[in-house]
Amino acid sequence: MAEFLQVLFTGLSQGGIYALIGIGFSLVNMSTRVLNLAQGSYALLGGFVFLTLATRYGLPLWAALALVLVLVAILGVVTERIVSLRVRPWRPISHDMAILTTLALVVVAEGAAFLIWGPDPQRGPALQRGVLNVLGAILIWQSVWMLVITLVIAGGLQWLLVRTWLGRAMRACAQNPLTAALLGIDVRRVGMAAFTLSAVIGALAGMLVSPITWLDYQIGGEFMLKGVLAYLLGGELAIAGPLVGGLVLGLVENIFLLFPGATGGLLKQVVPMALLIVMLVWRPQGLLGGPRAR
Amino acid sequence: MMPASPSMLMRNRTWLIALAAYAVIVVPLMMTGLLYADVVVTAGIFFILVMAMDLLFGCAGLLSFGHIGFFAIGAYAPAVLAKFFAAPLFSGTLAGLAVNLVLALTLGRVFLRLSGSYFMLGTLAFGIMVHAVIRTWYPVTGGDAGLGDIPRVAIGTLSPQMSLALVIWVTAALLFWFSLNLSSSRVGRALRAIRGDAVSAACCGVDVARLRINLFALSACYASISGSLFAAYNGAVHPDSFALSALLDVLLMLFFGGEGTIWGALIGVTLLRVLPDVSGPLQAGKILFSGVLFAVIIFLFPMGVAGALKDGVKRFARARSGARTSEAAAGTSGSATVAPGRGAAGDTVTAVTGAVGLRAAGAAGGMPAAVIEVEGLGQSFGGLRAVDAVSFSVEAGSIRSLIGPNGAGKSTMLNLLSGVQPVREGRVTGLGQPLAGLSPDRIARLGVRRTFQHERLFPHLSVIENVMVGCESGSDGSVGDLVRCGLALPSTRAEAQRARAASLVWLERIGLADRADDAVSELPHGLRKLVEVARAVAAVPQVLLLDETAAGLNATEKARLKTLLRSLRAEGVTTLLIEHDMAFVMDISDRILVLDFGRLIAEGPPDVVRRDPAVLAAYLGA
Amino acid sequence: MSADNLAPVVLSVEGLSAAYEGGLPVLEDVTLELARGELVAVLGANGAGKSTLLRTLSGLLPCLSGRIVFEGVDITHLAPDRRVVKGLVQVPEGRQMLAALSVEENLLLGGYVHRGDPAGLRRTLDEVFALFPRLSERRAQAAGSLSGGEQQMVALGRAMMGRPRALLLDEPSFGLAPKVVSDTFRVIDGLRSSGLPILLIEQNASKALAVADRAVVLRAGRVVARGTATELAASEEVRKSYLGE
Repeated sequence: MAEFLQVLFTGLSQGGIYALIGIGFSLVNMSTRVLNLAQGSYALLGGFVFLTLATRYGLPLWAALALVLVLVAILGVVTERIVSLRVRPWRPISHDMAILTTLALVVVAEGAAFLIWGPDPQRGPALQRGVLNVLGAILIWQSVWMLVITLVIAGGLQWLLVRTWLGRAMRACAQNPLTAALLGIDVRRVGMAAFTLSAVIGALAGMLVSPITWLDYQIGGEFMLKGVLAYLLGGELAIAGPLVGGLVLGLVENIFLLFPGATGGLLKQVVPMALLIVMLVWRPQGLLGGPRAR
Repeated sequence: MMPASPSMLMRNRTWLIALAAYAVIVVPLMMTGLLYADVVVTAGIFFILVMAMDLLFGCAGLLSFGHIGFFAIGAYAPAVLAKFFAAPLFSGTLAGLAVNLVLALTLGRVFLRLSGSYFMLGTLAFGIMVHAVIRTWYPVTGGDAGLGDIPRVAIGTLSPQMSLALVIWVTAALLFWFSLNLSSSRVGRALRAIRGDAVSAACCGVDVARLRINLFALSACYASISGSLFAAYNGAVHPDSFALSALLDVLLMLFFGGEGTIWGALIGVTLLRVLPDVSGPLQAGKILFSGVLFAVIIFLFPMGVAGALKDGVKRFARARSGARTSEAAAGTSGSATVAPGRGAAGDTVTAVTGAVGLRAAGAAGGMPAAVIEVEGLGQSFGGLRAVDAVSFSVEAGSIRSLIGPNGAGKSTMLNLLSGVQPVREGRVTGLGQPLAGLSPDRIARLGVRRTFQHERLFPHLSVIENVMVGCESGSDGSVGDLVRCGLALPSTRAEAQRARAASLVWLERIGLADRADDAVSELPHGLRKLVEVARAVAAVPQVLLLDETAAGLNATEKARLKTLLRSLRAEGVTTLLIEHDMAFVMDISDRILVLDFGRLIAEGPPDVVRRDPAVLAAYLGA
Repeated sequence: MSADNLAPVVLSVEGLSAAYEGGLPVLEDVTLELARGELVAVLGANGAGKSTLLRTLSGLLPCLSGRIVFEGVDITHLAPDRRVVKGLVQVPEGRQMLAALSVEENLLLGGYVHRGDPAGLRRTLDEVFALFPRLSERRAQAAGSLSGGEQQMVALGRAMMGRPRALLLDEPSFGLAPKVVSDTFRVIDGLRSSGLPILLIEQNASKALAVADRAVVLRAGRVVARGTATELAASEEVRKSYLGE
């Protein structure tokens, strides 16, 4: 029982991180139709800058966190500008070019991280050290925070989408950007807001996970993969889709630890992909639905 | 690998010229020591990999990020087999091919159902996963340390290194030849058609799903072969060669050339192989460099450097011949009434369309008189009843018009008949067999062809190639068809020539023969609609469905269309057309159907419909 | 511009040419004016360039040459959303519901440019609901699930939420039952009577000419006839050669 609880919780808290990256994808995609692969790079850069500020320069955690969020928000805006510089109302974004550009940004971020922080994995500071004992399962406080913050962010974004003008504008763009423009919505500015938000969320994910999963320069790609999987698994409900997808992914990855003799490493790589394929055969629209097939 | 006699290899010379030009540039550089032989050999390996991606992207517009995974599996298969079973290189290569084929068919089946961006995401996930598996599965793959001691091969008295170089470039040349054949064949045309407009391609008879899956598998095989050669040449494999940044390098090579510009890829591959393989901080710099370079290339040359060059040359040529073109255009409008060379073309037309005449004769004998029968057909969109309990039948060899206000459900009706939208309510029988549930390409191959309200030509094909796709019914997408076209068998070449000749005749018939090789975007709206008609009739269908073809045509073009439709009727073709131009409709139709708000409100010959009070109220608005 | 005995021109289009990217011009040298309190109909067959004209006016297509002046301001190169802020509002062809959003959200988004004034927005929303009581009943329903006539009401109501100073209507009769078309034209006539300048794109020439003050006829992207609605309706030649009757 304790073992089961342990796996359940570890899975959920890790899944929360995947969900955050996936939510970032979802926000940008619904607002601009761009699949922003650099989503994982915000986590990479956010995490590295955070641990540098906190450990090397000794900034208090909250200050480091605030500073990182500001820097990453700027990165988000820059990404949007790069991706949609040529976009006009009559010349929509080229999906191929956009996705390739963001892929290039992933590699640029990877190279920059290698250059600055070297090839060795590094570990970030925890928000709260120590563990918590629940029914015999030992939970790390940091994981607890990871899950809580994920759920709070998801809830907050859901509220934003339903209750605010920005959210309504995003949903309008998701339905039909041209109609949105004809209603007086500045589609570009909505896109910029989405990129900024998703960058901030991505960086939060990176900072939260850095004490548990050590960061190295290649982790941007891994984050991106998990986010993509969460997003594809969940389906196109803007927030709930990637949230559920991420949590399921985290659970499935960890559930194999319950089997005696199973080593996590390899299965952790293969199982999510297998899950995705089964999922796409069984329900191409994702767990929570939404049209996606051609 | 493939049975290719020398004479077959010689028929399509582009590949030889490109490779010879490449050799002329590269060999002297190698001789003088400016270029390491190593660069040229590995360029051959990556050329194969880039060709794999270009087959998908250049022809079908599909960008796969998963090829780095196929490449990796192709490389690790011989390494792993050699380590555990001391298997020779060749069997390792075959094992890699087998694994990749199974994977590609599975992934293709799943991911190709998704729209473009999701296809990229899915394949990307696969590519990253393969890299992750290689790094973690160290008992088999050696993990981060990689695997070494891959067996060497030697041909005769040549050194192993030299033998491999030979094998690599011979393989590259053969695959290059195969690719070029494929891309200039009906398969290539069908693929570029899908790339431009999958729905419209299906309506020409292209089995879109099967063709794309098989192409994906073929392309994975290229990548696999390239991977095995990579492993053999290096004698060792290491996970870094298959990381995300390696994927970007390959994409860089692809985009340096530009989509569909394979010779450009050759330049890109060589230039990028010149960059040394480095480690440590230098490696960081290299990663950063290729990231930035890629971003810049994508940004400045969305069509690739070679593509931009080609485009520039074209534009230059056009600027010089601008005066000539405008003269030619003036000539086109003038020739409408005269139609030079009509007599000769007319003979061929009879030859081409003779088959239909036979079919019409058959219809008079045994086949049912009604070619299309619709019973209780319905379709809803959200709360809208687009088509509501419509029943009618169209007799063979007649022209039937479908009229009604905008949005009355006419186009939906055509979509249901042609399989573009699945029939959920009611029955549709065409040519004596039920059409409901058939895919658009099956319906098209049965002999039901259509045009679209908003012209849907294939922008990546020239005018005559558009018509050829219709004439050849695209491709059935089978492995056999891919192989036949890739090997450029005499029979497929003869077929292609016949299709070209027949298409030219059809263009002649609509008065556009002199614009056969123009890009479709260079034609004005009205003429494009005529090309679409030619594409639909080029297969000599039994049923022709036209959606507002006359809209946007001038009086001369309308007259030409009328003549064409009447002569088709004489040849036994049944036409169902949607039209708003009442003068046109009243003149040409045998009978008229009137739809309003999804319902059939009147049916009959023109004179009756014209006076029908319900029609007057709903549509003509007297 | 206009002689002083005429109503002031709200929207003036001078020598407008437009094309889809990389294509040939679809619209060539179109000139027309819309004055205060006036309804001008743009007629022509499918493919004549009517929708292209509207797309260019609302900024969804670039203007190759010519000028668009709205209330004295040159808006030729203004972004689509800025034109809405200025009061030039379009009801797009096919109604373009934000299908997954509720009726009320669709309407509210019509007032996006007035989001700084929630009280005023509420008031306009109540007015729209008063005009279309049916929408009030269905305010929480997804707009995509409405019938064609109801969607048309949402489209019109959504445009009114933007408090337009001129309205561009693209084929309001598209896909509607005759009775609904009549209702829609009654609403349009009402809007015109309230002094709102309207540019009406319509294929149903007789319906359009019945409510219009003036009309222009497009063919192959050019204006081939213009005049008062009664003149055009009476002209046998126009009816025959351009309106396909």
